Order: sequence, then C-alpha cells, then structure tokens
Amino acid sequence: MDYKDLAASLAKQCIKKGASEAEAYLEEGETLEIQVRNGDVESMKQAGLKGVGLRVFVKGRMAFAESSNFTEEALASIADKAVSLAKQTSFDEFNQLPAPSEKIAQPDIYDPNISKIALDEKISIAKKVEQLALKKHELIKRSLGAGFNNIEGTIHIVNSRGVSTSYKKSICSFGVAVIAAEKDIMQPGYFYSSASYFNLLKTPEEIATRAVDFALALLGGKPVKSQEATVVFDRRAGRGLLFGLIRAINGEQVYQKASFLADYLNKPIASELITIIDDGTMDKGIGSQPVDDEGVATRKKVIVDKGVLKMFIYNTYSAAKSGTASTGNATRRGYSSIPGIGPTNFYMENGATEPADIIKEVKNGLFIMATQGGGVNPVNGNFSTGAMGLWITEGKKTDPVANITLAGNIFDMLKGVDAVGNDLEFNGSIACPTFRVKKMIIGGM
Amino acid sequence: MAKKNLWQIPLSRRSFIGKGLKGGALLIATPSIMSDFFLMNRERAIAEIASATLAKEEIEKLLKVALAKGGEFSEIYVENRQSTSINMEEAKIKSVHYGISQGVGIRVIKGNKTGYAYSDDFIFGKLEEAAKVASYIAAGEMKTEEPISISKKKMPSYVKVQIPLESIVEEKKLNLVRKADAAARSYDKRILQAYIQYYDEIRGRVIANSQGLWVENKLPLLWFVVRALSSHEGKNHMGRKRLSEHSGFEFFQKYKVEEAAQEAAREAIAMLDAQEAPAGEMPVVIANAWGGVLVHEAVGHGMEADGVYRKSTIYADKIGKKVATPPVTLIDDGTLPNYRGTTDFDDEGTPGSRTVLVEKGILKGYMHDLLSAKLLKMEPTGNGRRESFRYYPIPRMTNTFMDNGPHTAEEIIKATKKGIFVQSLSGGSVNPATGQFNFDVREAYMIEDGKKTYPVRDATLIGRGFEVLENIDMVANDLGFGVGICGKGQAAEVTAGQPTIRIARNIKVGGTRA
Repeated sequence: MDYKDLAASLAKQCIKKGASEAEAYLEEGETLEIQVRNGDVESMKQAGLKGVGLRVFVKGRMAFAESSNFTEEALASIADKAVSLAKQTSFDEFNQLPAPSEKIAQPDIYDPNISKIALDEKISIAKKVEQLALKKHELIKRSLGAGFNNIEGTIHIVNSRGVSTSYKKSICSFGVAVIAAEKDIMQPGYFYSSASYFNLLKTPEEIATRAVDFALALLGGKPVKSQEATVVFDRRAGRGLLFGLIRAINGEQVYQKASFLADYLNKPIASELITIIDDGTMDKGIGSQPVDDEGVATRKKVIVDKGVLKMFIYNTYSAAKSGTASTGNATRRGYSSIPGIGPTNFYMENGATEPADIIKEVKNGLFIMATQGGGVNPVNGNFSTGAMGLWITEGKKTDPVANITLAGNIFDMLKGVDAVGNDLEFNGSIACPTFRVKKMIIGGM
Repeated sequence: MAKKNLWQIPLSRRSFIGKGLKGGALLIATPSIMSDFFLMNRERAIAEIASATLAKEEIEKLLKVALAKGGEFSEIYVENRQSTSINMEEAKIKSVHYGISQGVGIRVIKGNKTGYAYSDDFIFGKLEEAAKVASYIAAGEMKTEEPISISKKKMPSYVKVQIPLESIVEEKKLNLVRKADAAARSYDKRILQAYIQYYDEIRGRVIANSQGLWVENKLPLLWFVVRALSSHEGKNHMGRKRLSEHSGFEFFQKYKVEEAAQEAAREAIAMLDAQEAPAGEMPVVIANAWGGVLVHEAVGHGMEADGVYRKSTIYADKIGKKVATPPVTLIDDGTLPNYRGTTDFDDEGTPGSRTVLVEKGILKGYMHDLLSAKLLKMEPTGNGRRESFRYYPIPRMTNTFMDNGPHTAEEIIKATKKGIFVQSLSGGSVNPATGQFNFDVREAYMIEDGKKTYPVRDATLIGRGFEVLENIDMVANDLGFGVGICGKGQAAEVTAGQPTIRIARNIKVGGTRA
C-alpha cells in the first residue's frame, strides 16, 4: 500500500466530509529490541508499527482522531469522528495549518544497512559489550543486562494547504548496565551509544569501559555537609540544565506567561560563555528531520548567543498566536498525538577550556555525574535535584558523593557559569560539554 | 513517577517510532455512537472495529505456531482500546481527540527467555508471522510443548459499572470540563491559567495461553486533571488535582469536578506566599494520600520481582528480614474496588490479589509476573502488567499503600519540634540497586514548635529507601490514596497511598537555603 497516497486521500476525505482544513500524519516502521543477560539472549521483541493521526479544522475549530487500524471502516470512522468532534470545540483564529516550505534541507538520517545486518550480529554486539564490562574489574559483580535496539521508519505528512512530504529515518543503539558491589553496597553503572548510522556507533570496548568507570567511581557514595559550593557538571548531568531551558523557551509556555524566560527576549540570561543551538538539519543527527511534525522545514537556530536569549521555539499555532512564524519545532509523541513544541538537536556549543583544567581550578566543590529527579521548574526557574558525583578537593577528584540534593535558581546558575569545556559529545539529541557553575546550594547532612 | 530503569538501554528522546508506541496507549474516545453525525451502517462498522478479536481456533493455532521451535509457554494477548480526550486551556476547548488502537501481542517463554512480537493487523497470515518471530527465542531446543486446549474461565470482578461510558454523549463530557475551568478561574483573581484534561477509554482484552487459560474483559477508565496557575508580583505556582478510577460515568456523581478545580486553585494560591525551602537533613512529615508516592518509589519498585531474580534490588534475598520499623506494613492490592490500579486480572490473566509486602517491618513478599514467579519458585500475585499490546508484561504495582497506624495526623505535627510538612508531591523516581529515591514536592510548610507555619517551595526530597523505612517513627490512621502514572520503560495506571507519617531522620530537603 502506498502510504503517502493513503495519507493524501485521508486528508481529502476529511475535506469532503466538511473540514475546512485537514492534515494526515502517517507513520510506519519496524522495531527490534534485544536484551542479553549473563551471556544469553533474555528477550527479543520485533514488530512492525503503523498509525495515522488526522487533525482537522472546521471553521477554526480543531479535533483530532487517530487509528492503528488501517481498514477502510476504521479510517472512514476516524475521518467522520474528527470532523464531527471539531464542531464541538472552541473557535480559535490561530488554528491554522502550515503552507509548504520553500526550502527543505535533506539531512542524512537513514541508514539502509541496519535492516540488512543479520540478527546474530546484533545479538553478538550486545553479548560482547556485556562480556567486556564483566571482565573489566573484580568489583564488577554482575550484569543488569546489555541490549541492542534499532528502529526505522517512514513519516508521511500531507495537508490541505499543499504540504506533501515523506522522509525515512533510522536510529540504532546498544549499551550495558552492570553492578559494582563491595560488601553490602551496590552501585549500578550504565552507558550506551546511539546513532542514526550503524557505523557511527561507538565500540563495545568504549561503552563497557564507561559503564564500568561510572559504577566504580560512584561506589560507596556518601553525603557531604549542607553547604554552598562550586559545581562542575559532567556531560551527562549537564543535560538536566538543557531540559529545563527547553521547557522555558517553549513558545506556548511563553505566551501563557508560564515561563521564567517570558520577559527576557534579547536580554542576557547567562554567562557570555554560553551559546545554545537548536538544529534539525545536522547530518546524522539523532534529532534531525527535514521537516518538523507538521511539515515545516527545520533549520539551524541560535537560541542563546553568548549569554543573550535570542528566540523562543514555536509550532504553527503558537507562532500565529504570538505574531511570529513557526520555527520548525512542532513535535509529536508519535502519530497518536497533536503536535506540541520540542527541540530537534539541542546543544550547548563547545567552549575553550580543557575539562581537566575546569576541575583543576576548583579548590572545594562537587563534580556531578548524575542527577535524579527534580529539575528546573519552567514556571519560576527554580532548580532542585538529587545528585551523585565526586568531591573535588584542591583540583583533584576524590571521594564519591551521593544522597545529596543540589539546588539553585536557574538564572544564578546560568550567569554563574564560569568555564565551558571543549568536549561536547552527542549520544542522543540533547548534548553539552562539561561546564562549571561558581556557586550552588548542596543539601546534605 | 518514573523509575530509573538502568537495564533498559534508553533510546533517544527522538526515537519517533518509540513515541508512536507510547502514543498508542494514549488513545481516546469511546465510540460515542449517539452522536447524530453517524449513519446506521457506520455504527455497525464501529461496533465491528471495537470488537476486533480472534476465534478460538485461530488463537489455538497461533499458540501452537509460537511453540513450534521448542518454547515451554506461549501467550496471545488481544487488545482493543478506544478513547476520548478533551483539553481545555485559556478558557477554550482546545481540542477533542478520539483514538482507536487494536492489536495482538504474541509471547513465548523458554527458561528465562522471552520472545515477543506484535501486529496491529488482524489478518491471520500476519499474526502467524508474528508468532513465528516470537518463537525464535526458543530456537535450538528439541522438545516441543503441546498447548492445552483453551477454555473460558470466569474471573473475579472488582470493577462495577453503573453508567456505561458508551452511553454518554460528548456534550456531557465537555460540560464537565467547562465547569471545572470556571470553578478554577473564579476561585481567586490571581489564578492566571487553568488547564483541564478529560480522558476516558474502554480497554478490551482477550488473553489466552498454552496452559489452557482463556479470559477476557472490558474495562472503562476515567482520568480528570485540573491544573491551576497562580501569578502575583512575579511569583507563581502550578497547583494540581487528579481524579481517576476504573468506573462508569457515575464517577462524576461521586467526584465533583468543581471541587477538584477549587483544590488545585487553593494550592496555587496558598503557595504564592512560599519562601525558599531549607537545605539539609530534618524530620519530614508527609501527608496522607498522594504522599504515598514515597512508598511507591522508596520501596515499591524495589519489591518488583524482576529486580529480585536479577539481584538488582537491595530487597533481593531478604524475605523474613527486618526492613522497616514495626509501625510499617506495606501492601499491594489489585482487588480494591474500582481503583485506578485494579484491572480484575493482570495482563497475563492472573487474578488481582492482595499481596502483603512488608508486615510490621518484616519483608514478606514480592510482586510477581508469571516469569518471576516461575524463576523464583513463588506464587504469581497478579502483577504482570503491560502498557499495551506493543509490550510484553513485567512486574508492576497496582494499588500500593502503607497501612494505618495508631496516631492521628494532628499528634504527629504536634510532636515535631522542627521539620517540614509535605502536603503533596508531583512525582519521584528510584534507583532500586542503591535504594536512592527522590520525590518532588509541590505543596509544603515548615513545622516550628509543633505547628505548621509558612509555606516553602520547590524542594526535592531525597533519601535511601531502607534508611527512610527504618526511621518512620509515627504513622497516623488517615489512609488515603492518590492516582498516577508509573513509568518503567512502559506506563501503568496506579494508585499510591499512605496515612500521614513522620520520617524522623535520614531524609534530606533540597532547598536553596543552606
């Protein structure tokens, strides 16, 4: 079945049934998940997936209907339903669908070889990384499992304003989790690699090493006294800051005045060392796609430029409402959801400092390696989280720390960044280098 | 309530198909066939769609194909879900969302291995293929198990329905949403925004396995959430109230949406006066009901039996040992009538049960699915759950709570010289290997000299589950439950409950005042 044609015909059906505008978002693909434990396959899941979401506007009123069932009856019923439900929602002049974009980037995001690789080879990658991790150190007592996953598929977006686009995308990943244990204390450590191309995955050796290093470094972590201290965020923990920013630059949160950044456009919100980019066009980027989830072309955007907030991110609705244009950031949680707003590849640009030097300059502080829970409150900018890491004394990493909280206000944090590392690494779509915050509050004993 | 699930390799947040898989569970809309748009033949078509299922012979054939490579257990899981969701924001009905999700999941178990495949096509050829794919997990074994002929089994019913959701027209649902919106906004002029979400679904399941089990049921689920955002002189707070049960529409006679809206608004206004929370260790009194997230995170996940056979939880090999103070009794009960976590039988066909996890401080049992029960040589407890046909089941909680104790909430506060009183939480997470948990506080007040004083904002509470359990020194008699969504690589509908309790030490507040 030609799914692009199906999407187009569904959008037309909605118009015929009385919609003023209609959009069909059809997604079809395949997924594979392999879990290995103690040298043997523990589970394997494989399936094809498809679904379509119809968004219709009837004279400015919106409704949405979706189905995983592609029989004629089911599809006719959701088209009917979408049109009839739309008559019951509120009129909103900003309920609009985007027009086709003139220029659409074609990032390289589909690896046709992934599906050609034999199942046995994928299984052996998972087995290998687990084997390597278990052998690395005598304190690594057991495996929590290793896995290999891949997902690929095609997205079709057709709307009644002429948007008609399809693209293919693939993502594969593998990783391992182990437990370090000494007497009664256990510490898990995990690491993974994910990439759009199979040959861009990291080696099992590297993944095993980083998983083991994490577990060993944090084993036996204890709390410290409550105090104010300098905090160095490693690349994993630092992402927590980015997640908080993502919610605050969401155009919808901004016009609802539910963002702590709402009044800060073109104002400095962070240290000059911080530049943050959102870019959906990066070749091989895990967050890349040629168009967003409404069919608007993605592009590279500077969100924060040397500390100054330059823009918010929008989908078509929120942009119309705010008197601006969509930034190509419409995001769905799959075919069955209405487009919201989200980042593509979202990262803090590299700074100039060696990560080792960032630590060397700290007399007394925390090197945070993982956060747990909490995060940034997008409404008021308060940051609070559980934290784990290593204490830094006279420029050296020393004892493991755990069972503490880290808190602060995000403006203080962002303005207090006084060093940014040159070690930016993408292992997903959100990334940052190592960075240091002059002062935060640690809640401990 | 997301659990850090370290043994599942996380896919990128942009794994769109993965999101499609999650999205499959958020389907909405009962086939509100009373809508006057529908013609008679459409109604029949929808009824057919709604009941897409498999005949006995088809199920038995698939069970057999799944075992052809030598598995010892096979299972067919058929799911039909139709749902409706209504969202109101900025005083407008933003959208109404209707969804259909149907499919078949086929599982094979051999030893400790699981093979799983699913199809959203009810075409027999495709299902046979899926059964073959699932069977590969057992490849290489010689013996083949013969599936037992399936026969229908009657199951207990803890979910009573008076007014079926299918009989409710959309307008009624829209009115509830509008009423809640008006109630939230009119509470106080400092309420800036109100967000109302209505969701209902009817989930039909047919479960059959090679041991001859064949069960089915259809359950309605309702979920209603009001969030209210207050704003005043640069300060703001989002208050929240959630309601949910497996129930018919009589739910809205039992729970008034206006009251829920006013509760959300009350919290939002009360917290405008919130000061910075202190940082450090101090006694914490946690109010009843949704405070039960503590139990869920700090302890519950650690007692799910998959962590036990993997030895990745601190509660492995501790049956019979003391894990908490004597006032602490923890129970997971899938039989509580109409509760959000009650589904009559789990997603493997095991009837729900009342499982005592900890009794007067002693660890008594775990929560099992069929696989963990088999591997640990214990009895299944009805905790094998899955988010949808796109997942195989794993041990999950249902309605998890700490039982009543001897004190009253007032006594507990009075007995606390200095500490923090937590009225409500927004969620939390746990690392079962270390016991490290956190939960995010929504509404809290300082306790000074045995009295609740000023509100404090935005603190994270952290601790280690076993340390907290060993330091609960007062438990009240006001057991209440809150409703939520638990995440463990896949979502599950749950409740969490507790009476008001005091944790005397070893719990830390992550405020900004050191």
